[in-house]
Order: sequence, then C-alpha cells, then structure tokens
Amino acid sequence: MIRSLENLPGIKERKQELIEKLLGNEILHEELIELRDKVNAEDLSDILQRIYDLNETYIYKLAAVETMVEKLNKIKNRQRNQVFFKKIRKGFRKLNDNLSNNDSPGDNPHITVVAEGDSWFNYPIILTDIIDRIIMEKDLAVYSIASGGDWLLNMLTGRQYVEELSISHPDWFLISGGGNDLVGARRLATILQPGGESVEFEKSEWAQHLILDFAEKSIIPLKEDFHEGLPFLSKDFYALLMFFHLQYYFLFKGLLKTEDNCVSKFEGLKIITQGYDYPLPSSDKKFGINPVRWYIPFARTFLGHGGWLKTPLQIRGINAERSQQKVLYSMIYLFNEMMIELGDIFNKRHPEQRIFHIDSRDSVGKGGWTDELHPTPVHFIKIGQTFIDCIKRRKAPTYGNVYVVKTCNP
Amino acid sequence: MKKFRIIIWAGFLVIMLVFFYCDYFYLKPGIVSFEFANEMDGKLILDGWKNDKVLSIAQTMIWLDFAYIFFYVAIMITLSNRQIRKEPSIGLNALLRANFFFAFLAGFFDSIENISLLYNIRYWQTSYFSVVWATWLKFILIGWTVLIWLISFIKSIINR
Repeated sequence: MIRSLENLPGIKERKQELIEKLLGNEILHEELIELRDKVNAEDLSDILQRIYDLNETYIYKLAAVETMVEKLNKIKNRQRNQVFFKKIRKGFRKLNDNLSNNDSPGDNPHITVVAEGDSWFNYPIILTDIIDRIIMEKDLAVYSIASGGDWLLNMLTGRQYVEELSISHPDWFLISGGGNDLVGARRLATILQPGGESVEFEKSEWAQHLILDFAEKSIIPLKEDFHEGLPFLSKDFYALLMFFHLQYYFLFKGLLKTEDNCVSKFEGLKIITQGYDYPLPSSDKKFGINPVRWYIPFARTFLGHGGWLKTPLQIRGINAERSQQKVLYSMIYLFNEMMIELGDIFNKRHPEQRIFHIDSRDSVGKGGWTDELHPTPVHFIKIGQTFIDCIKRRKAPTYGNVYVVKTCNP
Repeated sequence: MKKFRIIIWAGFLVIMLVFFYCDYFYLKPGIVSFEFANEMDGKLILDGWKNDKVLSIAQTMIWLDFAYIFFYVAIMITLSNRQIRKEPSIGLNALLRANFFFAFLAGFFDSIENISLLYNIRYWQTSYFSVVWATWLKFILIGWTVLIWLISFIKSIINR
C-alpha cells in the first residue's frame, strides 16, 4: 500500500525535488518536515551517496571499523556483556515483577539498558568511557554493542540494535553517533569552506530556527565563536547535518512508532542521545612529567590524534588555531541543537518524555582532552554520571528533555 | 583474554616456586639480600657463593627473573585494568590507570637491576656496579601499585 502511494504521480517527483533542495542547502524548514515523513531507507542511501560523492560500497568500506580496533571493541563488549548476563542469571529482571501497579517506573530498582555508539561509549583501551561508568551501577544492567570508531551510518544500516532491542526489551536505549561520520577518514575536509566566506547558515532556514527559536542560550551560551566559525562551513555540512536529522528521525520513528496509530514493539522504551563537547584541534603530543596523565602522550602518539581535526582543517587552509576551534564550536553547537530538537519533536507526540539528551557542551574544558576527540576519564565519568542521573531520575532535567553535564555534575 | 590470564598467572606462580626452592636450598644469603647489597656487602655475598654451582644457580635465577618481570607486570596491569571498571571514584580511577605506568616502570628498574647483577656475578673480582637505587625504586613502585589496587578492591567489596 505504501509502495503504491509512493508511486502515485507527483509524490516521487516531489520527494526527489526535496532531496535536491536538501543537498543544495536550499530546503525550507517546512519542506524538511515534509521530507522527513516521506523518506525511506532507499532515499537515505541515495542522499548519503550524493553527500559523500562516492558509491555505496566504497562508503561502507570507508566507514568500516579498522580490524585491530574492531577486535579490541569486541573484547571490551564481551567483558561488559559478561557482567550483563551475570546479573540476568542472578534474577535481575525477575525482581521487576515485585513492582506493584502503583509504582512508577522511577521506583523500579532494576533497570536494563542497551547501548549503541562510538568511542564515547566504547573506548577500547586505557580510558574509562561513559558506558564503563554506567555499568558500575549495581541496579543497572547494560548490554553494549558500541564500537569505537563506528559511524552512525554503520549503526543504522547494520541494525544490530534492532536485534538486541528485540531480545532484551530494555528500559533504556542509549545512542551516541555522528562524530565519526563528520571527522572519520578525514571527511571533515569535505565539509569546510576555505576562505571563510560561506553564507550557508543564512540560507538554511532550519539551522537558523535551531539557533534563533530553539537553543536555550541562557544555559548554553552562544559565544561569538559560533558566528565566527559559521563562514567556514560549506553547504555539504548543512546537508550532512540534515542527513543526521533524517537518520535519527527514521530511527526514533521506527522505535517509538508514533504515527499511523502503530503500536511500538518497544513500548515504554526511553532513549538517551548525546552530542559531544567542542573539541580542540591539535597535533601536540602533550608530553609531561605527571605520571597520572601518562596515557595522554601515549594516545596522542599511537591512536590517530591530529589526523581527525587538525590535518583536515589544514588541508583546507584553515591554519589559525582559533579559527580551527571556532569551526568545531559551530559544528558541535549545531549538532547538539539538532539532537535536542529531535527529542523535542517526539516528546511532543507522547504523554511522557521518551527521548532525553545529555548535553556535554562546555563541560570538558581546555585541559580535559585525552586527544582531539576524547575527554580524559574524569570527564567521561562526569558525563556517565549525568546519564545515570537521567536514567535513575535522580535529578530533574536542566531544561526540557536536556541534562546539561556542567550543571548536573560540574 | 582468559587464556592470557591463565598463562600469566601460571608463569608467575611457577617461577615464584622455583625462586623459593632455589633460595631455600642453595642460596645463603638469598637473592633479595644480594639485590639490596651495596658494593662491599655484594662482594661478600659473592665471595660466599664462590662455589661454581651456587653462582650458576644465582645466574640462572636472574635470567629467569626477566621472564618473571613480564609475568608480574602483566598481572599488575590486568588486575588494575579490571579494577578500573569497578572504580567510580575519580581519584582512585586515575591512580589505578597510573598503575599501568608504574608497573611498567617497576619492570624497567628490575631489568636494570638484573643486568647489573649479572655483570657483578661475572666481574665482581675486578669491578662492581651497585644499583641499589633501582631495587628500592622497583619495590616502592610495586608496593604502591599493590596498595592502590588493594584499597580499590576492598572498597568495591564493602560497596558490593
């Protein structure tokens, strides 16, 4: 039935027209709303190939996690999931049956979680990452399929999360993705506008809506850096950001089934997203005499530091350190607002909030980075703690559906 | 990973037993006294071991100690790594991570010590090279890593 509707004269052409507009960053906010309800997996694949200017097979090859990292990811996930099964075998979920009908889910002493994501959720060696911190909670059982270096693209096309959600029927689904799609395989260079003369933000009605109408600037201040970074972002960045929006929308719609009176297979499932902090492009190895921070020069020497941000920025002729920081500031600010708006869209359709966002912006600070992309364990622990605050409802959201790390766990 | 853990624990225990056996039955004073000896005491100990068999046993034990270094460093790192995953305290979590580095450093000092002991066994009658400082540093680092691990371990048991 759906297929036949799509084939109706005009509908397919209209969708194609909207996709063209999206790729050219000429789509209006209302048109994006129209497109996101029409888009299917095939369209997403088409958009992707055109954003990356590559064929599908090559894109997946590019996005594939390197073999060695994949092995380490698997080892860490296996160890984490052993803890999960140990808890389950001890009757972790059976205890849920003791809840009376009057108990709210917040009274539930045992909570199950499935986590899908990138290196913020699974940094396979040395660092304590967000999921490591969450797993330490006795009353949370976490099943992890997160992989360091993974692209959102891989997560959504691999659909491993669907299988795991169907098996576990968890209370919470945590997802962290998009970072590697932006900066993996030096892709950052492809979404920059050398010379800093881009006016694409002014052309994007939707991006302006995110900043002007939506962002809680009193809580997450919009520094001048944002406006100074924008001229370096090309139309491909906005196309990619809208592509993320469509991908996540497609994912959440599938999980929460909020339209056409469909009943969700995962009734009651709650979702947490996260949107990183403003990273600092650098190629500095940070050798020092503090033995507690020995892992920083180690990670910076052997694990890809400099190649994710600094080099691609320099490839496009953006050499000044401050300009580099401003570019990343603008990107991460918009990425977070995109995620927050998505949660808001779905929360408005439900009587209770179903999607939450952990906002790490401004929480890590200048000296808090292990390398270009990853905070030190101290900050990962604080972000993880904020996830726990959200899951266990220990604290109220900072605003709307958002938990701001620097407010919840300064 | 499980196989690796079995190998390092088996290697560690077997070599430790060999050390205890040799120390108890052949070396008087033991190898630890030799490690802590300054030039004068070291020469006295070696003079007491002059009998060829004892010297060659001491030499073999020191060669074996290189393998032992690998095993105990690996054990300290894997134990700290496992404990990190149970340690939410920011301070202890950071100290457990520092244990990786300290364990490696302890192994490094132990290697320096072994090289100098082998040298001394061979040339003690003409020259002697004392590295008591490396021995002290080694034991301090090992003591520190074990202490941090123990504090975190006991804390996790109490909070279980």
